Amino acid sequence: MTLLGVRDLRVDFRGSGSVVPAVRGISLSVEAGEVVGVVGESGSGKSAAMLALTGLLPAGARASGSVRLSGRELLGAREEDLRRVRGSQIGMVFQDALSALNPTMPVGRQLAEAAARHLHLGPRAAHDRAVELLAAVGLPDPVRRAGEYPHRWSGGMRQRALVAMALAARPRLVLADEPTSALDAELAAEIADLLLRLRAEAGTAVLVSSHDLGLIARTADRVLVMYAGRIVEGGAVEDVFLRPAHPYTAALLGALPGGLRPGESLRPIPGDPPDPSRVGPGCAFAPRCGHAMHGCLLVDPEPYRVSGDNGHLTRCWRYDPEAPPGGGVAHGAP
Amino acid sequence: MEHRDRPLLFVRDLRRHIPDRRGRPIRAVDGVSFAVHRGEIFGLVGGSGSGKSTLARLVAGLDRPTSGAVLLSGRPVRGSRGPARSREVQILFQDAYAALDPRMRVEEIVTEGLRLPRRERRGRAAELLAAVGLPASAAAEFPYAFSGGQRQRIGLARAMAVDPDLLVADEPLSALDPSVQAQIVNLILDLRRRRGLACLFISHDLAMVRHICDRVAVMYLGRFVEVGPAASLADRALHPYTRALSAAAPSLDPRQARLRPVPRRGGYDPAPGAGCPFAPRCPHVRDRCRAEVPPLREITLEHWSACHFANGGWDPPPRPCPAASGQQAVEQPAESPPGLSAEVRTEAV
Amino acid sequence: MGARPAFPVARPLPRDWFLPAPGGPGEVCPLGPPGRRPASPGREAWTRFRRNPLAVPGLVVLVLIAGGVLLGPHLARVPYDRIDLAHQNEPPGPRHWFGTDQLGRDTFARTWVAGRVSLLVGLAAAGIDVGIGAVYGGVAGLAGGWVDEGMMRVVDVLYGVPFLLVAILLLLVMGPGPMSVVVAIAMVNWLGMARLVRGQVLLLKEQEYVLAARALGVPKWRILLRHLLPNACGPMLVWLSYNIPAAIFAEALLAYVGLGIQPPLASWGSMVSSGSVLFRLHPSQFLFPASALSLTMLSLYAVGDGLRDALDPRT
Repeated sequence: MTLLGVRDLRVDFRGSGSVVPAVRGISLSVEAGEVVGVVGESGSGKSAAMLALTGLLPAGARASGSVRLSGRELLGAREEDLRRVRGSQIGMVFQDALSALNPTMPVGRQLAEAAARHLHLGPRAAHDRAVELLAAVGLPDPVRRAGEYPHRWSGGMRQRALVAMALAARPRLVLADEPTSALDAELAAEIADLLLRLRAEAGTAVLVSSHDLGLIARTADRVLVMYAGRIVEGGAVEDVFLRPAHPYTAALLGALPGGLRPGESLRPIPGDPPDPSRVGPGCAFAPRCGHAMHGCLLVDPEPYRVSGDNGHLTRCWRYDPEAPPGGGVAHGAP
Repeated sequence: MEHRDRPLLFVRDLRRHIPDRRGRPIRAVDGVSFAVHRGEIFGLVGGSGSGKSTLARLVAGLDRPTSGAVLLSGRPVRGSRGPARSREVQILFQDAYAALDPRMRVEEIVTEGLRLPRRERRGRAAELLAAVGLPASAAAEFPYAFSGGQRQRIGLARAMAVDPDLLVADEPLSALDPSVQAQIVNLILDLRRRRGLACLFISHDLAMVRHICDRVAVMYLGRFVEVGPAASLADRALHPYTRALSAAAPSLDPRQARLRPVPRRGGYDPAPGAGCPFAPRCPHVRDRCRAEVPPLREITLEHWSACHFANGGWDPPPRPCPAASGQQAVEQPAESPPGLSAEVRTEAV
Repeated sequence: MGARPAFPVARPLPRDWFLPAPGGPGEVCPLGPPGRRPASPGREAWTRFRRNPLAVPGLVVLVLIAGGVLLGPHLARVPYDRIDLAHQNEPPGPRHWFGTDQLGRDTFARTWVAGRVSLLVGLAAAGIDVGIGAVYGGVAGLAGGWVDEGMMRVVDVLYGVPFLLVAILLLLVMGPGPMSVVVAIAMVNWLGMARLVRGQVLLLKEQEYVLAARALGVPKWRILLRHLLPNACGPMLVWLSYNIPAAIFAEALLAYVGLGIQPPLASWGSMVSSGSVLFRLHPSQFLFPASALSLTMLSLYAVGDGLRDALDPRT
């Protein structure tokens, strides 16, 4: 059975008198032991979607649709049930490491508590588990580290402690929202490595969202590209990154420096990222798309299969069966 | 790069020791020397804790060094910090949200460095904003109305308003979306093309640094461990730390991206003094490394490295770089900082 | 990506569906809906203030009390200090709306006159707060180093001295009267503001926009005026909204124990003091000034709460 099944998830933020549709209907699935990446920039809605999966949206936000974990519906479930699910079946690694760790407790104790609560361990066993976790995330001298307080640690160490927290109860799925955004390249690589080891050693599935394309390329089996609250492309990571079907994906990959001669001007995407409260009918990317057609401005396309690749789908009118042939996107990947 | 003329920026044996809570000095910048020429984009890479932000502030004159000198066109950058100095070096910050005063309108922000009477402000602001691709209507707005990329452009407009010769860009792209990073980078490249702007470009994004920088320095725990032309560093890195950074830098080809990074070893507490600072983490470490601090030496033409074994002798031998080629081991001990030709050396001090 | 719901497009598609769309990709996007005037942070703050349920009623009450204090004595039938022994200790009635006190003076008029004293004391104390305290704290924060240390040690020492002790000493020296009371309160009150402003300045000094201003060659005094103080305004205002009622209450306390305001002048504190003696028999003499005092303080707190919401940085 599919580990995580999301169907037509929508998230609205209610502000003063206005409703901002951050997520406008996304559907995805994560199988056991899979690493699925979600690529999106500001305004894409990926963070809202991640929060919605475990009921962590702030007050004033409403989610609708269906989120099923091993068949059990999470959206709209009672807070107590959700709390049990969080931590024991779904581990979460979110962006702001410092605020997720309790500054008044040694790290080891926080981990032990989490482990004890979800795995029903006694204090000695829980402490051992905490040390085991710290070692698993690559922190040297874990026994000593377990007794230290979070504020003494560097950003990279704290981020790893967050991953350890997420794993304390041996969840089957880990959600990671921008796990590397505040880290330098080496630490980011280590976190990426860690995520891969999770899957290899414990069979944990991972859903990781980021705007760091390199991180996704490194860790994900499948990737979903989000833009303005919708998924515009999805497929195996090699297919999407090497043969991007959607103009946004291609433009995003093309905006990076790889593949150009040094010193040459880069190719940013014209215009600015979308304001989620002001998306018109039709494809949200059309105003910035070099291939936009009349129909693109009128109706938001449904997903189409990209021929030649298995499981590669894209929301783009150019792939409609009635579309004229030869509308190939310039492959911008390096 | 033509090195005949006097360098725009000359940094000589710069040190900045910051006392920590117990009063012990942290050597944020520990003996750095280099030069940047007009119109050159000089890259600076390093992990967190390497001292690059401290170096940025010292170069911009926002901090006072413990020892050493920062010279702009031959004159020290710190001293009387009057308007004259500010016209030569400006700074662009990483945090675009904290870099603009939330209570000032954009027209006041971008013209802050100029002393303009009120009526001239709007017009000049419109010109400055147009140069960075923002509409004139932005002048009347407050910072909260703008996205990260737009704020960074406003910061750039503010810096360029005083027409500096050198721009210190302290991780200006880190907080931005990838498609927006390209916009900012193009602006900098454009400024270099049209106005001969030089730039000290600090980043931890190796791919971007490789793309836009002429020369690159790699910093580790307050010191330069490698300096050289961008292409050389990318293809033929001569220091294990640089190689580690390259290996960690992700490629966008998923088939190649799954290389394992060089594993970290040992503690995080740097032991200053004895031996090479990178020794605890170096996969090629030998006894000599722990005993002797390797000096920064010119290994091949214009390519410097602070490793005892930069010109051969790494054990185990390094994995081939993407564009592997043999290393030309030319040992030329030189005391002057990288980037200066012999003529300049006598003049600059 | 899941099942495909019924697609609301008639097939075959119109002929121009796949023709290139007009216009080029992404010209610079407008920054907001056209015609919207940029709202200053001040206007946004006002909106947030209005949303606090207690803040606006508090503001209304304050305005009403201010009105009463200004106009009340003129609306009263008799002057506040007219002694009328024929009508002592009357309860509220048609002639004396709030009743009279032991000497037959009109409580209504006296309450409002007393209000003038109480409010003036509060405002004066606040003014000194800002004048001395903010400047002191600002200078300390900006100077840094041992100048800062020294200045704050002075504050720490003064902080330890009990307020009542200082007040009594000062009043003995200066003699009773409104001026002395103001000075006594202000002597102690500015310390909190000094600490607050110094803390704010220390924090703001490191903000990137201040560094940018320094890099642009903006002189220090201009940075203080243009960047530091305006951005420290928020916490200062909130502090003031708690400090003014504290000053008013301090005056009431001093009057209650017999220091401070002497008859024929009255303050709410002195009226509460004399009214409390006869409370059981003639409650109106106590209740009216006590209510006025309490209402004023409560509404100042409510406004302070609203200010805190208003100035809460959202972004």
